[in-house]
Amino acid sequence: MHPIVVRNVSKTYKGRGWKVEALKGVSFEVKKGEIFGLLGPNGAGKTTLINILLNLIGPDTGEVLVLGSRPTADVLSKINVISGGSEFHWALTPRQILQFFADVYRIPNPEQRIDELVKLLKMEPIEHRKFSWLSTGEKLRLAFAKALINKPKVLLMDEPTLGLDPDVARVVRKEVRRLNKSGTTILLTSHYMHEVEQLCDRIAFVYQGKIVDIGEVQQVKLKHFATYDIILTLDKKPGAAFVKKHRLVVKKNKVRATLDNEQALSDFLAAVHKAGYQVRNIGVRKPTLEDYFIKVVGQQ
Amino acid sequence: MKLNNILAVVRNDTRVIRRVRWRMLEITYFPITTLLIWGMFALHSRQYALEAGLIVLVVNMFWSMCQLAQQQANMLMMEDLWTLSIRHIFIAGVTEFEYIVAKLVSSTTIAVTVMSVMLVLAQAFGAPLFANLSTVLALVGIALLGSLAMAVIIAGCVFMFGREYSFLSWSFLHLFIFFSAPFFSPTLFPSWLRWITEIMPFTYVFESARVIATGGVPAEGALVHALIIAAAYFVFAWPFYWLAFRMARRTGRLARIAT
Repeated sequence: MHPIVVRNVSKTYKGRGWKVEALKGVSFEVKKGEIFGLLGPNGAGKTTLINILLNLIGPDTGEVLVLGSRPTADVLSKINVISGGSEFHWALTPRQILQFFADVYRIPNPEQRIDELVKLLKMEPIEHRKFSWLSTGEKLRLAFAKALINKPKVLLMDEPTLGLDPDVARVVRKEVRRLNKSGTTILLTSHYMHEVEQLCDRIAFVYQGKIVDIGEVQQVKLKHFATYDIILTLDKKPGAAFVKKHRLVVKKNKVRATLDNEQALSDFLAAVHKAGYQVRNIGVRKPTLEDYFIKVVGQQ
Repeated sequence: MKLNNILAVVRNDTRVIRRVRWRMLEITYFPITTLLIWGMFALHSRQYALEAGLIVLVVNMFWSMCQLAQQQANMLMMEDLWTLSIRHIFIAGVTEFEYIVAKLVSSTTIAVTVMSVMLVLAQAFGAPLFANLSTVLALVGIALLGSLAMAVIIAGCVFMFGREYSFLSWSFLHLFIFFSAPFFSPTLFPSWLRWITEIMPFTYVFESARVIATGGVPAEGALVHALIIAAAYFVFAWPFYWLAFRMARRTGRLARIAT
């Protein structure tokens, strides 16, 4: 059984005169030991899904299984979560906050575990400072310590690097990789395409409450972008027949060709050579998840 | 229900209260100053051979304790809401019942401690409470039961209707106090309103407190009646809270309340 199973989950929020279909029959599984990314624009339904996995929201239809069961209190005690902008009681210190979670998760030798986390996340200078006096990065380190305190089998990460400085975000990504290597299954939601691209084994793209794509990162990209953008700077402006034949976009002596695969790429370069053009500069741009994001949202 | 989780939340509440030292003063300030004001009034009114001062003093003590028990439970919950830490508590595997029971344990400890201090101080103003200590303690228990029921109902309302209903923590009890006829006989209400006083959680508590204040012994029937009504509120409060929490989870309000 996979650590996270989501089967046909739908959720609609209703109020007086308004209705939002947050999720429409979403199904996917997260395999043991993988980092799975949930990608999508604002309001796509990612956080609703996380909240359903945490039993903060009940689905209208369908079911979620975490570690083989519904997310009851017992299951929740074996997993953990970290979200961007995590808040704790402003009057307590990081050590006191961790003491509470050590109590709840029944950590044996709690003070020793807290010491380990304080050392690991370099929290020594802030462990006795009030939460309200911590910076965003320090708050995130505390949220991370809290998320690791029970050595979770599954870690849900909801926009963990939202609003963080790039250097702190890099530390977070490093920690995520380290944690994953130690066997923790991770479900990550993020806006940052490069983050998802760097960290995730598989992704699901959620848009308007539906999964529009799911698979390995490379596979998903290639499905939509079996293309290379190649930009050549030639010694002279190419002739009209050549431009028409290869469907080029021309700007002075720069040409851009969109090619479907590696064979087409080498054929095109051969044709350029055969036509007598000299290549002064060459650039090949592979599609990123960002391109994919923009393309899918645009199509929808 | 796991005792470990309840104790963890109670310990956390204690840490919060100890961290904000002025909070300790705030908890005792209002009940004690109220007692002192009405205690002085009791001394003053004695020269006119009036027992009104003592009645107001003793009823106010019970009122203050009820308010403290209910408000502290709800305030500790509101702090978790305002600081957005409530989300972490529930997703750590603390159930809604463990959570609210912990709040009731914290608030009961506070209310009983402050009431003990008030009972001792009231002696200085001539309130004959130690002469009837067992009845007074029974009344304290009954009043606490009713107040905690109120706290559970208010917690349910906040989950059901949202954070903007936090104001109920301050106002809800007052309505019940008014209809419980604190300083006067329920017969002063128009006859068509009297049935309401019959089902109020504190009517018989206040009635018995007035009798004790003037040196009398409340009728056993009044105490039994008070206990039955407070227990009925307490029993009703739990399914309401459960239903409210379920509704909050179903509508998505639970997730919204803590983000």
